[in-house]
Amino acid sequence: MPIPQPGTREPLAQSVVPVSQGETIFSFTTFLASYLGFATTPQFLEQLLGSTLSSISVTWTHQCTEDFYPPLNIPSLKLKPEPGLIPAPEERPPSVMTLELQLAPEATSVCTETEKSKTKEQLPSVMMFSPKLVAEQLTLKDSELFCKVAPFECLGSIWSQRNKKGKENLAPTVRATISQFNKVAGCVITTCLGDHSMNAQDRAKTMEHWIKVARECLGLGNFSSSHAILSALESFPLHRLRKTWRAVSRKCSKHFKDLCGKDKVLIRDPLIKVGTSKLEKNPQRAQMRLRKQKKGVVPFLGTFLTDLQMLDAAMEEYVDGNVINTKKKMKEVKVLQEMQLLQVAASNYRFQHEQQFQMWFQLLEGLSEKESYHLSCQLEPPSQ
Amino acid sequence: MDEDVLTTLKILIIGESGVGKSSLLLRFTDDTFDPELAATIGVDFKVKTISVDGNKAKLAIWDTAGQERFRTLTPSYYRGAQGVILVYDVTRRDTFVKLDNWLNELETYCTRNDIVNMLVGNKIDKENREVDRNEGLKFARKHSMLFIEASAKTCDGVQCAFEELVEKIIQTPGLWESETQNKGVKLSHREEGHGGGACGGYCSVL
Repeated sequence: MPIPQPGTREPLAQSVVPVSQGETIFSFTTFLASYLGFATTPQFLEQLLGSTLSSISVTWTHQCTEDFYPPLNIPSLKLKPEPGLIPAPEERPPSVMTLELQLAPEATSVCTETEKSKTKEQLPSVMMFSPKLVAEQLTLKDSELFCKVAPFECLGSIWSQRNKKGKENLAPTVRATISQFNKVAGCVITTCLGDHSMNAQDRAKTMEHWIKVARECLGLGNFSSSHAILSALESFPLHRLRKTWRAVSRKCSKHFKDLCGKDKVLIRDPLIKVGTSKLEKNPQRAQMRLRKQKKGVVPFLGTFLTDLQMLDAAMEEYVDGNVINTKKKMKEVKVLQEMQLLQVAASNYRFQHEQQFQMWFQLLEGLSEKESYHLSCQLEPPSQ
Repeated sequence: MDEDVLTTLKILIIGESGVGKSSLLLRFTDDTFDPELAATIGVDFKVKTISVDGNKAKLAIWDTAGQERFRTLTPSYYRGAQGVILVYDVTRRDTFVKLDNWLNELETYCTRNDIVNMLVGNKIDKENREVDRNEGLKFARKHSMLFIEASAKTCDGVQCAFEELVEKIIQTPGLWESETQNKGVKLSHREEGHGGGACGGYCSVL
């Protein structure tokens, strides 16, 4: 990507346009993910008019549908939406969450009311499903969600707004990923604590099972679920169960320790796993290599959120009054580029939905943090 | 290793999202952040050496800004921490109300009961204040925490907050000297019979 010259929006937009005429659209798609940080959609769009709009607008409308909502009012342009891409006028823009629910109806339609009325105890144990199957099914869902993450939602200037009034629907794709992550963590805790009939030995077996699942996830390059599982096993309600941990086999305990060590490194640099690195100078080459390798990766999104938040806090948006800080933008674009590379890798998985597990996962009602702590203390009272 | 550094202290910054935790951390450290460097050295904390009363201490300051919604805060995150900076935004009452949740979390997860807590009311440079200074002070007193108001934007009070925290830690016998041998998995002291989650009983001089 040509380096935008410091200045206001105009030169910045102009410096980006020629990119789309060349052989690569990759830098442009990354730019699309970041421009909202310093310009509004109409402002940016008008900059592009009269140049090469036609060649890129298709990518843009496909990639960032929500940018075109509410319908734009630009005098010099009539934007004709492609059928099905632009949402019908409603109160708010379409969230990917909603789209995702329509595409994957198992969450709502598969679970009938009768099935929902099943209690936790009636659900089969997670041991029914092999670690490999569980890991593959979690990876299937995680990769779907990660591919749908709109990179610009992760920018510090956007994501940090999430708790403000009226911003409850902000960053739906990020929220969807986090809620899946928490569901996985909750699932681990619930299966280890939720069944009263289990003794310490049974619980230890369940923990061992999850350690194996985490191992499989790491093997598959799914650092999101592996991190969720390991965090859950390290969470206070499980971590404190000394009797249970004593019943975990020595081999599994060792694996757990090793996995925690690897997890710390890999959530920081998931690209190591697929044989490329942040230092790869040519994103197109890296992208090609990832496609060829067919190796899948799902990173832990939290690392990107923290990095982008720190970047946003460390660097000013404008320098010398109203001049856009292009240094900051370039750094942000680099992080977003890495995310997009990983999205390419995340689309490499070829697993099929396994109905039984997916249903089990949907039906499992996770314990709240309070309930988990309470149950944990019942099993092994604090004063022991 | 630096010969003249007395000790390395682990400090956590916690609080609701958007209260300015990372700004506070950055203003106190070198004001820079490079994602590539962070990935290369694989750290999730920033380091700064500070001198208080002629004693040099190296601080490893942990911050999970941006990740508050992930269910990942585990005992290992809190393990070995000697100080916690709990931040709220004086222009957002909801961030003040949520302090109770954070204190509960601290009480549950912290591996020791003499850890030094400091409450920081951030963003005092802004005009639309919703929590006044006395409320913050009262809350801090009630929970035996140090208290300071600050602005990460103007740097007001930032240095002071960290200095005061470190001073208090160094003055607390047993909090930092024994920490170096204390790296294994250790269950909560509180659970092992020290009872109660009350902190040491210090309060701000401010």
